[in-house]
Amino acid sequence: MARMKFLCDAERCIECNGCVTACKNEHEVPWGVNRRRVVTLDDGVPGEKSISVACMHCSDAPCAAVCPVDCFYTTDDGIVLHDKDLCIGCGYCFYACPFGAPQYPQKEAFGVRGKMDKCTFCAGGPEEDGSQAEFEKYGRNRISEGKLPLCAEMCSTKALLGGDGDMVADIYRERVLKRSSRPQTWGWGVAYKADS
Amino acid sequence: MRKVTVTLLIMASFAMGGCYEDTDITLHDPGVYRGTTDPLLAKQANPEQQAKLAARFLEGQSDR
Repeated sequence: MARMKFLCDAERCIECNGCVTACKNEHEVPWGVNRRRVVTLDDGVPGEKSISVACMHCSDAPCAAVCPVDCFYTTDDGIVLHDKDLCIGCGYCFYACPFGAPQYPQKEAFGVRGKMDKCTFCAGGPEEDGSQAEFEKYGRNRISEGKLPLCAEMCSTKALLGGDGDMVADIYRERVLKRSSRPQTWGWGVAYKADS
Repeated sequence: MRKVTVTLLIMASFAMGGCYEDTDITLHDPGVYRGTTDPLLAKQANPEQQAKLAARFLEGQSDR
């Protein structure tokens, strides 16, 4: 069984935001919610790096651990999904997630946020596959159609990869070998710059 | 005098015991999912579906 994962190659990402747009369009994501975002480090400075971030579908998902109504489930291939009919919009998952993946469509009086929304790896939710109810709540279910997440499939530089983690790792390993060095995007040198 | 000392020592030990703080990290395991079963789970268990997704990945995302 595959273990589905996203990986963004920061050496390739050109901050085109195509993945963000594709996601919003494919799932008709409501205003104020971005299931995927592109984060740029040192924006405007030569050598800037960008990375596309969404739900990372954690193996030991903290959102699921803190949910008081147990609305999260993980598929056998590692996709973390949730049931919006159970969600009470408490926001615990938002605080627990290190990637800021869970988001809420409303901002009303008394802290009413609405049902939590996040990246589904284009796998919909617990409604009938391909149904209108599923589309309205979770967006399109591309996985059931035998397709992979649109953000990764349409990435023009193939920076964003989404699929079986082993296959993603193979591709990335080959790239690193071709570059003959590890990626210089992260590490002590980036975190603790000489001039800071 | 000895009785007073012993009593004070016992009281002090109880008082110090009250200052104890458990430094273990509280870990929360996810609970059991309470929603309806996703029909996708059965579909994904099919090896043909897995092969289809793998082929799709190689077709669209592998380096040229």
